[in-house]
Amino acid sequence: MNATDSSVMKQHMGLEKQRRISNNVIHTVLIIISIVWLIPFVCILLQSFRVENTMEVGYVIPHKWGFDNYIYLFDTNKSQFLRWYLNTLIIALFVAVFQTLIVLCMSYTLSRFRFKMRTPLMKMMLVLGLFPGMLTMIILYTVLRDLGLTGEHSVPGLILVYIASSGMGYYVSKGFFDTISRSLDESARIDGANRFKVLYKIILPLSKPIVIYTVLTAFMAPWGDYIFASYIAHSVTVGKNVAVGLSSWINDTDKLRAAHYTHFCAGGVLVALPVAIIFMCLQRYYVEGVTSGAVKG
Amino acid sequence: MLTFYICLGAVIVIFVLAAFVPDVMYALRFLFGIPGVFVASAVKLVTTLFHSLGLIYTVAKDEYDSEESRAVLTREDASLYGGIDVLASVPEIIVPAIKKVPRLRMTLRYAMGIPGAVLASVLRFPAILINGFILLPEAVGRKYDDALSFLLLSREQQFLYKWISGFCGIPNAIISGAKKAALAVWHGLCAVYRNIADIVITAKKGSPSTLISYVLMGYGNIARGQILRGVLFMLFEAVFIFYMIFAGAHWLSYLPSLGKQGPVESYDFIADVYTTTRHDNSFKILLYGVLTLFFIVAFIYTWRLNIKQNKLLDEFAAAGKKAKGSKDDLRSLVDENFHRTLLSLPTLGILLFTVLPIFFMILVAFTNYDNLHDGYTNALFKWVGTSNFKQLFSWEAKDTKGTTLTFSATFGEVLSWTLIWAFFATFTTYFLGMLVAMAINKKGIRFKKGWRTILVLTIAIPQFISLLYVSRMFAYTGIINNFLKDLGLRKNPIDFWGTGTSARITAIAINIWIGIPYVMLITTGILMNIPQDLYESSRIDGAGGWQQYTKITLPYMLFVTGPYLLTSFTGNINNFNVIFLLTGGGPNMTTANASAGSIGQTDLLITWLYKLTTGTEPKYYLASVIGIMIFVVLAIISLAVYRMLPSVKNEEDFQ
Amino acid sequence: MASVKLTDVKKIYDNNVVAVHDFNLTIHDKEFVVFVGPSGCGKSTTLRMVAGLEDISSGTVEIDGTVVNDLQPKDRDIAMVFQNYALYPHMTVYDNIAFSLRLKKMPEDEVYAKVTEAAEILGITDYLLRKPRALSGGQRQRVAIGRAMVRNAKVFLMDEPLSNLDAKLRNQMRAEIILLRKRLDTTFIYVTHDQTEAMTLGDRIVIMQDGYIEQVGTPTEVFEMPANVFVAEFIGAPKMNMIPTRLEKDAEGYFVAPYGIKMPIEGEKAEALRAKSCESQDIILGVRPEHIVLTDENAPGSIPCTLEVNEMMGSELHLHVVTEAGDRLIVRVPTLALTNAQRRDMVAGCRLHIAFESKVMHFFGAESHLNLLYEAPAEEKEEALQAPAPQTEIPAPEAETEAPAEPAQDAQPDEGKQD
Repeated sequence: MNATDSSVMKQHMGLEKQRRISNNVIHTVLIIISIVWLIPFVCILLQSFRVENTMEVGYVIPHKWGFDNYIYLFDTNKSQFLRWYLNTLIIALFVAVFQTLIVLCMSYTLSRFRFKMRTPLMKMMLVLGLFPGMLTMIILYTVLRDLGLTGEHSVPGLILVYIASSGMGYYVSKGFFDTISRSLDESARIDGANRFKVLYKIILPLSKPIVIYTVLTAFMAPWGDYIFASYIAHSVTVGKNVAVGLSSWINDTDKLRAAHYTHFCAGGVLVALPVAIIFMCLQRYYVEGVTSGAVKG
Repeated sequence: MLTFYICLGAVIVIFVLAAFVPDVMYALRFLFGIPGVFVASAVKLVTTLFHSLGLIYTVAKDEYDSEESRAVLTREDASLYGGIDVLASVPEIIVPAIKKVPRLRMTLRYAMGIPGAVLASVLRFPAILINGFILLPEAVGRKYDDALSFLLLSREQQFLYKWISGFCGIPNAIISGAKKAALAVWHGLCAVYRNIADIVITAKKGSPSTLISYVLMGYGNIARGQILRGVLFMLFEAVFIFYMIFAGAHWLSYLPSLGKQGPVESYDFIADVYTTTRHDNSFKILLYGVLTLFFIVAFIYTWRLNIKQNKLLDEFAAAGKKAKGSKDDLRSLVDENFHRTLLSLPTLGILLFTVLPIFFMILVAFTNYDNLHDGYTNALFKWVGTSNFKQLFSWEAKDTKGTTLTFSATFGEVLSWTLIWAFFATFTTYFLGMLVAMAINKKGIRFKKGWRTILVLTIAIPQFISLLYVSRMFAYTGIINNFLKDLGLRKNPIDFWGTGTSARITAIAINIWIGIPYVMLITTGILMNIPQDLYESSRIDGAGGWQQYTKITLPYMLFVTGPYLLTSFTGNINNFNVIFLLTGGGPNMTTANASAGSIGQTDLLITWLYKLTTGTEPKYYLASVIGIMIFVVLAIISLAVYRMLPSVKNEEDFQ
Repeated sequence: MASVKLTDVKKIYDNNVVAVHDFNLTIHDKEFVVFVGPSGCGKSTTLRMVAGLEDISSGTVEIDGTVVNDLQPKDRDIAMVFQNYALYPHMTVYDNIAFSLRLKKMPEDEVYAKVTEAAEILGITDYLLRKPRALSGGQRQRVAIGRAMVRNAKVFLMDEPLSNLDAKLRNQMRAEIILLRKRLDTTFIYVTHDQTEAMTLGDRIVIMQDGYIEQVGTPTEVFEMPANVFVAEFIGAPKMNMIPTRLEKDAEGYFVAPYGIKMPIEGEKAEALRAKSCESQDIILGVRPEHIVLTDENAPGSIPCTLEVNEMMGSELHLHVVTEAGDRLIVRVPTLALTNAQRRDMVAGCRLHIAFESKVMHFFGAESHLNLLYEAPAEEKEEALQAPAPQTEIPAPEAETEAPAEPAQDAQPDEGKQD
């Protein structure tokens, strides 16, 4: 008895040890991964405080610290950064509201109603989605230019471009609505609610996660959008959003690029901070959304 | 005729000779000595060939397998028979041997340990190939379609068989697709016919107010109390007629030519300046022409709707029922017609901002719209038919020097890099992301939430910041190179973005940095959703960690995230941000065709498209062609994958 | 408080699947009608068409004399209880029950009175402020019923309301539904796949299969005079034994001879057969398990067989036996009818002898599967006569199962020709 007991104990200890070793290995790997993931962000942050020069240099830790770069950004005489920031913020807020409304309308309808044009509509959107969206920009740019919504006045133009076709992104939220039992709708309809009241009183209160997810993705997209903004703003400085504006600082082929390097870093920090904080707070909903979207396809 | 008989005779003579060859040989030797022997040998060679041809048949029938029957043959024939017999049995020996290769692997492994296993793995590739060839005819013949015979195959063969059968099914799928398309066209024609017939019948039977509605839309509705509908119909008709008279007809008439009079340059003697008088605008003609076409279609649809409704009103009147009034119509917009209310705005947006532009751009692919023909300021653009597409598929060099590649070769290179990129970008992030997720999920790992938060930073921070910055980090004079120099690891900096290959590899590597967190987020939830009893049951069945991963985790994940993999793959084909912000497409492709614009070695189709529509020399027609090609590529991939994914076939299954 | 009339109601789905074929039924005021059948028989679809949740492909549904085809569910004045309860998860129990009343813009004090009254009746007063998530299955069920109750609707629809409950709770709730019905005193349509529920709850039972009505009748009628083999097997548990054999007529009268054992048919059954002037023909002989008795070897008409499985159910034994011809039959014997010694001997493999009287026999046409003695109730016949046209549309092979309402004589000329 005792002998077998001790051998079991030994085996148990072995397993425990093995697990501890493997967990230590994993911890080490995770630490390395985290460092790799953080390095660029730490570098941006550090270099945004560099004062001695604004050019790209080979070292990371500033020799002289200060807020000069941030002051530069807020000085409207020197830079248009505030204008870009405001542009993007306005766009993001409008897009967040209207895109959410449109996406919810579309996805709720496709989830709950069975009408003749439903399948053709969904198929059409599937096919349209296979065309690169950039293709439409050639004509949209010309039309918006004729309407005076490009360059200087690119903000309303961009808002229009972002929200107009946003109905095509119905998939994730439709997946969510599909999971709400349809007998709830039916029950409410028998209880005397019309379709609008079903949506307003029953479905919407249950859809908080997906509403937040939609708002979050809609709000975040304009901050990072380069393609459409670069078309619509063209080369007019005041019409740019942060993505196009800041990348013009770092990506230009002329000498100015080097001179704006730390400004880019400071601008990047200012853009990233609010967006990242909002995202981190609402991360749960984001994860829910992407996961269901990925599974449902 | 004569030649035929001569040939026939010759064949008969040879066969007769062949029957007596040994004797002929002796006779010839006696007659001509050594040269005779040579002749006889040559004849023998031919006759042996004939003999063996004749014997193959008998071998197949096992005609001379017994000793007695073998005795009938000449010595030569007997040995030939034996030889052929041995040859014929080779496949019978090899095929089962090859089919047993998986077992061979185990044997080798036991015999030689790890080297044996490696050797076996190397041997496996040809074995798989050969197995595939062996299975090909059987798959075509659908030999193992029933469960019992299928189960007799080794697992490897089952896999191969499924794939081969899948590919064999493609022709059938194409045929059935074509049938469906034909049927759809036929149904469409029938529907058109039915509609026309219905219009005629309604006209014959219709009440006066219905007949007036044929010309004056909505009259019948107003006459019968549906004021709102009637007024809307009439308004629409008025707008349509007004538009057609004052604009639509003009644009439409110019659509076939895309403008008659281009800009004219004239010299003003007095002021001594050249002035340009601009006339037609091809761009606007095409745009408004398309818009007018859309409008006409919408009008026809509305007109038909108007007739349908009047017919219904006629029927209501005949049955003594009361039609719905304006109030009912308004009320129904939040009830039975609520979907119309909800969808009207989103679909209108899609129609105007996606469908119309895409339609327009498809048409542009058939024109020569570029910076030299911008349609207004310098020259009109014209319809050029399919020549843009021909350029894409013509392998003939336009340039006579022979130094520049054809356009199709350039396109081929970009397309293949796009696909390679999409493949690596998707699967590296997928597997590594899953690994990270599993590592974080593992029991006993601390700070789970912390790790996740750090990783998720790359999603939370706008990509243009992180990617542009990382791109600078890897620059020739960037932080990474400096760091390597300081550490003394390298004297000369690495030019990450300098050559095509290194730029491509670096881009894929950085994409891993961007992509892992997404996959980690998605897979974490799914991994936790895998029923734990699957693992428990497999552990009782004797599976270790690796086996659990390959037999349970991976299949489950692949099944559940199949749709994600597809969208991720297609998303990566169109992954503008990562490539454009990292490399800007560079380094330049020196061998690119002159008409391809400034194109780099890491350019994807989508960034190429972007470059073709911006910059100083935009080539819109080419951009449209590329756009259409992206569509074709994505459509093929999606269709192929959709056929294989069980989880996306039926969306109602999820409800 | 209204009658419901369905006339030629048909449901065809988009993929051309016909879920319900020409459904004709009149449900009287304050009647409790149960639709019962296996899953996929179209019973739920029919109910949902009455509720207005499914479009009606053709035919009409009338409630209280008005055609409601084009009315929205909210305008039909009906109440419905769903299988999964369909409680609004974000509302408390009180709000759930009050939902429909508030939509009617009823003053809050009246709402309060009605909701608390219903809660009192259902015994859920303590849970009024809870969310449905915090309730057990039975409590949720009560809330769902309460929500339907307060509406005072003309028609009360229930779609498998007890299927999600465990067996014990189901019995309890069944009894409560009977009480509820007495209290509400309105028209009920109840859908279930469980024949016990159908038998215990319904005034009339509508048995459906593959979108057709197989039989309409009171529980007694469908039990004692099933219209066809399907109904006979569906109603009653364990299901009726079916023995293929022949009905013979000779000078003395009718007899059947299953397994070569001649059994004369006497009494009521013989008279009924004579009244229908049945000829000799192949039939399926149906006998319910509880109507078979154990006898000894020498008793007249005893069938020898071997015991295969003996299921002890408590108050009764279910004996699965195999005849010498290899047919499997079930015999239901009260436990108390046997001595301890007899029960002890009843192990698998032992020899038994069984018998049954002629008054418990059911005769079904071998080809038609129709009960030879079945006579459709007058009302139903009338309905069938009113709408003869649609029946001709139905393709021939389905006509057999479609025709349960027709008298058995129709099948007979065919049989005669075969002879």
